Amino acid sequence: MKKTSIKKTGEYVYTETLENGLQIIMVPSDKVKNYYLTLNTKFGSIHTDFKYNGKNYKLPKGTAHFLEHLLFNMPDGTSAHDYFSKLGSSINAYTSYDITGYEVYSNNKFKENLSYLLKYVYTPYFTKELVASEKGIITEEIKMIGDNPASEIVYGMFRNIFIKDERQYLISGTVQDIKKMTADDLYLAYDAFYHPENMFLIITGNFKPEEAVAIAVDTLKDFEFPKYNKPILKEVNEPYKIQNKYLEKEMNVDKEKVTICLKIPKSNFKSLKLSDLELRLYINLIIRVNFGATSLLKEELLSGGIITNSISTFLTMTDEYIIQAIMTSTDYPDYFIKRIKETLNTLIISGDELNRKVNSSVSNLIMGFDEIEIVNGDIGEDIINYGKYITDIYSYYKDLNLETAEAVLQKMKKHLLAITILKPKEEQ
Amino acid sequence: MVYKCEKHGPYTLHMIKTNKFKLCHMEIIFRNNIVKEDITKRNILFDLLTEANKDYPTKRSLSLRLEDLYNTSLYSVTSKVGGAVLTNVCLDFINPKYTDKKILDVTLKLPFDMLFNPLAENDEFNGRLVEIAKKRSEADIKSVKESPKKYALLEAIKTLGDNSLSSFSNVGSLKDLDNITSNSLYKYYQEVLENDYVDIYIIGDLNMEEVSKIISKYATFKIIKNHQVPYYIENSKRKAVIKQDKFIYVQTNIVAILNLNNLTSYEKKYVANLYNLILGGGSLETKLYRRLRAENSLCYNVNSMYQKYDGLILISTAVDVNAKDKATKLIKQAIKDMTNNITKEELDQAKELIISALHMNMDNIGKIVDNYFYHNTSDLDDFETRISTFKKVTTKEIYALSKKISISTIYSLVGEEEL
Repeated sequence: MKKTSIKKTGEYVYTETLENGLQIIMVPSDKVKNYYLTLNTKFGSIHTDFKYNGKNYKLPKGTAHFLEHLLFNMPDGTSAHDYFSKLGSSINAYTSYDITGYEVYSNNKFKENLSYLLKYVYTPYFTKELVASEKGIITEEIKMIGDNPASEIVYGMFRNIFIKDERQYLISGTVQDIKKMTADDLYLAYDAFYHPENMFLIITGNFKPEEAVAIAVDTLKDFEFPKYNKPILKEVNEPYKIQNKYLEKEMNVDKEKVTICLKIPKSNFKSLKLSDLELRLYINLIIRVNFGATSLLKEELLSGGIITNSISTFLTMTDEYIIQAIMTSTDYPDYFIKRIKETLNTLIISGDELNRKVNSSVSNLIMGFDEIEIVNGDIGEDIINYGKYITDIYSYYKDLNLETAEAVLQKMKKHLLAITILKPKEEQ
Repeated sequence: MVYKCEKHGPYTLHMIKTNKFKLCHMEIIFRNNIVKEDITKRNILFDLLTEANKDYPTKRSLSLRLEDLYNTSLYSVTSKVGGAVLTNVCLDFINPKYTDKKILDVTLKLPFDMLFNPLAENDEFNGRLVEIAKKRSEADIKSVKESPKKYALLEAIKTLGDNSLSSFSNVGSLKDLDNITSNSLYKYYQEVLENDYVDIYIIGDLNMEEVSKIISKYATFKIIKNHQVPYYIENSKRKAVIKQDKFIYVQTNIVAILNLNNLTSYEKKYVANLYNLILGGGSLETKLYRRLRAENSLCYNVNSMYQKYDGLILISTAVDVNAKDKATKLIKQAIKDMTNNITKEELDQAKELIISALHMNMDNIGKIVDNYFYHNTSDLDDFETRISTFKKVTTKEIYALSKKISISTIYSLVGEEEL
């Protein structure tokens, strides 16, 4: 087992890879009473088109999410909920664009909780009847998403900005998509993506790393995993184009919700030789300075009555692009869009702002270790985004410099821009 | 964890020393009897008191200051707790031992500066600031409709009638908003300082003697209060009100309100909690979940919330527009199950869940403060008593409680679309 210091935080991460390929990442703390387990697979809603064991496959949209729902069922007719309820543990699962995770939150019976998490996730049981029954529940979940403006903001934005990338589709799939789902689809997805080599277990909170590894080894010795043939995902080759420059949709919103979304090619920054992590930190910094709580623009729009709250921002990266969204609620969408566009053309950064943001980021890094869910989530995000947990993020913050920030700022100017607006729907 | 309480006349200081957290947390808690017409004013008042003051006259200048203090957060939360209204002015800051500068004094000073040095002249708050806060309040009130669940719950509790203190939203109302001026708000500010009880809680790995000295320097509250602020209120038993509205949502949202009539203190604190967990407040193995989701695939979510101080349980779900009647029938069946069909296993699971949740709370800095606060101002028993008492609750006691429960409202907010 490898023990590594997490710089500036006084905490350590322990890592181990089991013989079957499962990677275990652990950050223990004896200050808390609880522990949080997440067993994750690198399989999300965007992984529908792939080659596996020499054959090409195309899964229905929403497969990862459907599989997540059904995996709780066990062959003896029980559900994982039955077992965990008896222990008093909180359990749940989540599917995103690029990951599916199964979580347990508890404060006692560590061995039983960890062992059963591994057991149920590594025991697929999908029948025609279970699939049929779950379709009704997921249909209602999709309708619930349809009533949620916050979800529509994200999906609307991705529908506008992407041509080929699967992020333009609902994680859950549509009602029509899931009508097509079969148990065979789920078994295929499970075989292709739920091998321990494609998965990682994160444990944070009150536990002993050695014991956790021993429990995992002991539990999984009863399972046989074939040699893993990693599926080859179809390359996206997302073009430098956008679907719609401007799109409106009526919904149950009070004020217009405006999203301005930038599609910035990573190739813009090639000459700067920055890693994805460094690039993300610089762009975050520039966006916070120009659109965040301390920005001149926010103050101007707030005091002018254009916005009533904040300007939200959201950054995600694909293999080829940086997608940066800038969002707000306003009664004056045209003026807001105009000012955002003007600000994007005159982005600023200063040494003082850079130092202030770096100090506040370091402070957040340290305080984040009070919450075992945040630590667990950060590890998962790092693994998906950068392939490993970044234990020296403090050094990355401290290395941020004005000269590079100014260069990044200049290169952000080459981008495509799409606008999505949710407008109030007339009440009947 | 070491708890110490100091009475300072107009306010009480509660210090909780623990090395569990790298964060430190302070809450200045204002508490008084709820007045329906004042809720909107109260929200705006504390919003603007944490937005700017004479030293930091704009939100931006305050944000810059907070960022200089290593990303300290300052915010307020107003909530309705039975017959009381609470406003918590909260400060989250990094333990100064992780910083290069000595920041404890200046950090603790900030929220008191905001409260006692507001942006006001001649008994009026700054007009620009009031307008910003009013616009934000208006947006908050109107945006309730963006959440179908929240909107359905608010419309459902309105059916309890104007005489019920449970019947209104703590977001406020547009009608009250119209009447608020810079001057009326300032008068209300003075009333709050004069009449609200003030408790200050601070938790973290700090030298609490030093903390006490700093706070007594800046917490210049003047008036000692001496009136009752009861939390518990009663809603009368009545024939169930059935109400239906239409709205532009896809799904139909259903809310059932259950009235808990004439409960003993023990039932309120213990039996009703477990009743709620078995009915719909706990895991995915509840009566409601089984009836609506597992057996009939009618919904994604169905849950119940126990409002201890209001004597109510609120059940909420969202279903297909054509499934309203079936879902309502199944909700009633689940309530009936609670009168004669609870297994030992279900009760044991509910106990495990609640005891586990109590332990989980002990890792949350805000929940630790809540525990002390309600123990000090209400009838919340200490941690060990709660755990041992929950363990002793029997099925018989839950059946006895179920006889004291009646349906007060069934409200449907009917959707209109097929996807």
